[in-house]
Amino acid sequence: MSIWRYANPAEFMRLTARALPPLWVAAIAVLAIGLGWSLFATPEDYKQGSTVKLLFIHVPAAMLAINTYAIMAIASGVGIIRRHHVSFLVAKAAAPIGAAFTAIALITGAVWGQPMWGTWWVWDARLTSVLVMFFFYLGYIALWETIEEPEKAADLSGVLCLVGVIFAFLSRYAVNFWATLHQGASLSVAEGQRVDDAFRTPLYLMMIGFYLFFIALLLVRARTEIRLRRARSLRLQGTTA
Amino acid sequence: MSFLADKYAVYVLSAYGATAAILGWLLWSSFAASARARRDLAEIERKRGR
Repeated sequence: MSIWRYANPAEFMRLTARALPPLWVAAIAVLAIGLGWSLFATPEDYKQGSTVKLLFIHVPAAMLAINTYAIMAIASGVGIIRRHHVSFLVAKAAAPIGAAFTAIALITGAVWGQPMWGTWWVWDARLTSVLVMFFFYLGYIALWETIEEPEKAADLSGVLCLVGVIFAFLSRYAVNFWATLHQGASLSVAEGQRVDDAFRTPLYLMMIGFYLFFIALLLVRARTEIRLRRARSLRLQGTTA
Repeated sequence: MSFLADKYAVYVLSAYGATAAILGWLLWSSFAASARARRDLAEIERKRGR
């Protein structure tokens, strides 16, 4: 059985209709437990005070900001090479979610930076890469909205997305290449445990919750894009008949 | 609720508030667009079925 059968819109709609209800239930349950644990059952850090609680939204949001861009790039690449419409539509559906998570990462980072670094913003390599990636998200969304012909919009926005991959890569690895004010990876297999268990377990829970939320929302938005495309094609058939 | 007494509580609450607002807007706009697309498609299919 080939994975490409899921690129068939009818098959995609059938499968996702079944997957969505349990996904939403799981996302809401995990996020509720994770939020309660993060806010009310974790201790304050001896240096950071209660600002350590920003970790529980900043880290998952930043991970999703970068990974959503990677997903969009893969989907756009597949769309350009194999001409699968669903791939383009998944990339289009993911863009506003990725932009929202990037905005959350930037805002929560700034709010943490003010009391801890003494500034809302510094032009260090990681922060700047994330900001540029955010602009690529906005440019990608704007390009889809600007071009009326869907095939052309898909191709051009797909190319723009692939160009921006470098900033998604830098957002993740800039801390390894340059000396930045932003600290290195909080969670790293290679570097061993760097976050105390008291914070690590709720952090993992929030990460799982954010990912479940992302998948559920992505499927809802991809289904919307498929319906819009179908409606457009029926409308065109009606006008040419 | 002990963290509310901390001097940084306003930072924590504003960051969580901003996150809730952004995700709430994203959810609302996604479901509104989904309902609109579903309605439009049903309407077009109904017209074609006539």
